[in-house]
Formats: sequence, C-alpha cells, structure tokens
Amino acid sequence: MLEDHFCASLAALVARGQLKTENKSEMEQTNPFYDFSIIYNKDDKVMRALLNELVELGYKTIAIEQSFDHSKKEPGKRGSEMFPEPHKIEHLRKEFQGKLRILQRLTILYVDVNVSHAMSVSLNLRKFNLIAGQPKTDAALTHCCTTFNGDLVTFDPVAGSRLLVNRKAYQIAVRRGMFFEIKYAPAIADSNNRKDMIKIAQNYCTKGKSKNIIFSSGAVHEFQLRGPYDVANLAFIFGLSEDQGKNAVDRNCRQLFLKAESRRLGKTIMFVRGNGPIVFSDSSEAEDDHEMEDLQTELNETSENNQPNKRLKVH
Amino acid sequence: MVDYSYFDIKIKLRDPDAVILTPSLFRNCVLDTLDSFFCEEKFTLEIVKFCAQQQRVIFRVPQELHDVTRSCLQLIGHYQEVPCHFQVLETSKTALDFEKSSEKLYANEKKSEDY
Repeated sequence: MLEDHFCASLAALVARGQLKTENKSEMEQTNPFYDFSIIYNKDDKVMRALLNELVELGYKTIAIEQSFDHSKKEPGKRGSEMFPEPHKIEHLRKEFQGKLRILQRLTILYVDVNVSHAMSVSLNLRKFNLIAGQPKTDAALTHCCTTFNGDLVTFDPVAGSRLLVNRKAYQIAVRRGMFFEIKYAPAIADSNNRKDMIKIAQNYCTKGKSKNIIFSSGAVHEFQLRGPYDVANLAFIFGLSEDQGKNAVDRNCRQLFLKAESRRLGKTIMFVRGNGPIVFSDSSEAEDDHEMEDLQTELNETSENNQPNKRLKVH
Repeated sequence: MVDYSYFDIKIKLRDPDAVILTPSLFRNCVLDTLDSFFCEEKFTLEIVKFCAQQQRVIFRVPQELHDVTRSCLQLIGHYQEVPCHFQVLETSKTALDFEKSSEKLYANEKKSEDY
C-alpha cells in the first residue's frame, strides 16, 4: 500500500514537472493535449482525416480505441487467450511521427467477474497502452471500481444512464488510481445521449466531487472532434470546476498514462533528481486523506459487524 | 450600456454544397441549441459579420451569456442535417474583424512554430 502510494506520488511529481528523471529518454514522454478515445476505423481515409484534424486542433497524444465484448464469448473458450491483438497501425504512426503520439487502447465490455481471470492470463493485453472497463451491470460497475485490473472506467453513452456509481465504489476507484471517462462526441451526435451524459457527469460530481475525471472524444469522424480548450470548457455543463476541466484534458490524462505504463511494465526502478522545491502534500490531498480515513473506518465497521461470532465488549 | 462578448467562428461542414449558409439560418441554428439547452427564448445574438465564401461568422452576445454560448457552440453537431463543427477561432470583449483575427492567428501559429 505504501509502495503504491509512493509510486503514485512520484508519478504525480513527475507529471507536475517538480521532479525530472535522470535520463529523459528512459522516461515515457507525452505532450499535452490528450484524447484517449478515437474509435478505430478500418478505412484509412477516415483515420487519416481524424488524425489530421486532431493535429490541427492541437492534440499531441491520442489513443485509438477498439472494443471487446467479453460477455459474448463462448464459455468454453474462457481461460485461454481471448482478447484480440491490437490493430496494426504502424503506417499511421510513421505518417504522424513528430506530430502525434498514437497509443492503443482496449475497452472491455463485461457483465461478470470472470473477466479478471481472463485478464490475468492474457498476453495480448500487454500490447495495449490503455485498458478500459465498460461495465454492463451494477455488480460489474462495483467490480470495475474495486478490483478491475485496468486503468479507466467508461460507460456506454447509448445505453443511457442506467448505471450510476455509488460513493464508496467511486472513492475506492480514486484510491486505486482509476480514472473515469466522459466522452463528448455522443453528446454532439444526439440530444438524448447528451441528457444521459450530463446525468452521469453530475453523478460523478455529487458522489465523488468529480475527482479523476478525463474528457475524451469517442469520435467516429472528424466533425465530432473539438479543440482542447473547448473541451475543457465543457466542464461548465458537466459540473466540474474550471481547474478540473483543464486537468481532464491534460494532467489527469498524463497521470493515467503513467499509471497504465506502470501496470504494463510491473515494478520498475526509477532514478529521480530534485528540480526545485518539492511539496509532498497540499490541502486537497490532506482533505482526501481525511476522506479516505473516514471510508476506511466505515469499511472496518461494516466488516466487524459482519463477523458471525462477535464478542461483546464490556466497558 | 450592455457589454458584449464577440465570437469569431469558422464553420466546418462535411458537405458545404448541400446546405444554404445565410446569417439568419446560422443565427437560428445557434439560438435553437441555446433554447434546447436552457429553455429560454430571450437570448440576444447579433451577427456582426458574415462571409459565406470563407465560412466565417463574427457575432456578439451579452457578456453574461458568454460561457453558455461557448459551451453550446461545442455541442452543435449538425447544420441542416449535415455534420458540422463551429470552431471558435477567437473570443473577445472588444469588436472583432476577419482580417485582424487572421493576422493574430497567423502570428500565434508562427510563434508556436518558432517555439
């Protein structure tokens, strides 16, 4: 736990620029702004148009998304490698080298916890930069927040706002370094989706003060893309503060990327050197700690209550 | 005296030939979206300049509606049922002009390239 906390703090410091690695080339470099959801299209023309528009709008790091529905797999095949290989996009990477850093992301749609086992034995998953979970049921949503071995929680904007995260699960997810994604392209495409998305975003706001939120497009074509400053401005509608809006397209995405890299690479030794005054805690983190302590005691209390042969204490 | 916020917009359309681009139709498109969002019909939006060839518009709204208008513009995805993007090139509290904005944009682009 302490190790995790240290790694997270280190990653946060590196992200803020207060620490620099000894050798920059060893550190995974990314530049703002970020869009971690560009839907993959087989047609290279469409992909090129999307990527050109992203460059024009000022994005530097993007992720091409492919989906995989775990619940539609035959039961017999479970246990073996069931996740797909990433699409081959080397030619696009070469074409946009220097302009865009192109990552690959897998979104796993699932209903039950069996997905965890399949994920633990999969080799293909390591080939993706980002892993997102898209739960289809309430139980899956809780699992996604508490034990899912991915980086991101997303939702199906077309399915409506059936699934709303509860406060406890949200806080555990934040504690684990998971991020919640809000896609804006479905809100552009359809006004019904827009209502649902606002509802989900407001739920994040009321249940967890909109912590660890990232904005991404989920764009299918180039007319669904918006500039990073305009996207940050959508915070006004989604119930985030101005700072949270900016972080949702910049700092949070960087932290998400670092978290994903650490998941892929496992334990790594990093040499770090100070580059100015280092502040290890601030008021917001202290506030978070208080909240987490409260949550911990709450959880302990519930687990104590669940013990079958609990002894009565006499004061 | 009312303070205004000026918006310089570039209209990007998938199929420009399939639509009729006029100031009043553009104005209606934005007003309809504002209305559908905030259910108020008394928004004031004045077109200052309009160029169908360049697909550029400069309009102004009262300053208190700046945030609302900006957010709404981003969520407009269709103009006469054709996919579109109203890209905000610049916003200002003072009057904007196509030429001035273009010069500014060019200077900014050059700066970022040098950087």
